[in-house]
Amino acid sequence: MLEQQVAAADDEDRRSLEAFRRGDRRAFEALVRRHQKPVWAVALRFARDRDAAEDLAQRAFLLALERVDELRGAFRPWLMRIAVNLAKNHVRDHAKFDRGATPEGAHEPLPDEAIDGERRRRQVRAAMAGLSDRQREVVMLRIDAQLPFAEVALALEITENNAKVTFHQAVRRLRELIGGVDGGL
Amino acid sequence: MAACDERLPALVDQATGALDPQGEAALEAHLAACPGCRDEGRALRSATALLAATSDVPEGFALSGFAARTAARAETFRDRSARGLWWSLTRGVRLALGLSAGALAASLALFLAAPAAPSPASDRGVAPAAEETFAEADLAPARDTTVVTLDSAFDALSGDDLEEFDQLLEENPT
Repeated sequence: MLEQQVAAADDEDRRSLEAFRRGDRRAFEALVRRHQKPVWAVALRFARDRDAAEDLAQRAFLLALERVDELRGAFRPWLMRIAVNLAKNHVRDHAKFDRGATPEGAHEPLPDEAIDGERRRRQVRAAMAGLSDRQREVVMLRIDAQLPFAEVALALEITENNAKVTFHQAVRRLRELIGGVDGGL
Repeated sequence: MAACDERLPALVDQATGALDPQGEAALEAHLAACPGCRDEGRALRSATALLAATSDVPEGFALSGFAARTAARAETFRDRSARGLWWSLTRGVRLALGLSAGALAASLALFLAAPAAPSPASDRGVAPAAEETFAEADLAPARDTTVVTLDSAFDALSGDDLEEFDQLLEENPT
């Protein structure tokens, strides 16, 4: 059942891309709306401000469009892998990982529990810098892009078991990095 | 006490809400007798929940207009790419025309040249002067358009191809 749903969604994505190539702009808009939230989640994890996040997110879709002839397999994990790679390049190009700041305009600060939430968000963002590239990729694809582990494995060309073990190692590392601060994780 | 290695995938599935009922039942039966896995499972669930809570696009975060802006930029990109595709597709034709013109010029040169001792070039069938008429760029190998693997495509994303793509985007801003 789930496989049928995934296949149907993938067919719809491919049809949207073909329609756009024939000139149907709205088809591409629909494609973007279907996938924008997880792509933005990946971008916001590493961008310093809203403009940078939007640029990252937009470039992911445009690069996917440019490279669509190289697509072998499902569209969504491929798109998410592109977004993760662009985020990695963004960090490399800016020569630092944003360890504290929340993207401007990401949300309006709220009192009490929201302040605590913001503090935790900063801690997690900083701790993600301490992960290996592969660990960070697995976490971003599973948590930010919300891909099932089977699709994470496809996107990274590893086994599903490997993806889960890497996720476990990443979480353990994050606990070490964040642990001891107000009870850690 | 450490968790059992063979249970880690199931513990991760449980923490991320991906364990089916049968798997859940089997894992719970194991956890009842394994404190190491119980502790690890608890820590995994807590950490995963925090990751998820700090991940989502924040409540109220406006994505409105993003799809339209992206589609507009994509249209410009598509149109420019189409022009570039035409240029690369005609490269073969242009190269063939250049070679034909060069061969014709070489034949003419041989015909008009004085009947002297054979030159090394004529042994090859091509006059040196004809070779020199081609710009180096015209003889450069055409860009490889064979199917690339997913892996090499991703490798290219962080290399020169990505820089070219970035430049193209800068030339076609929103």
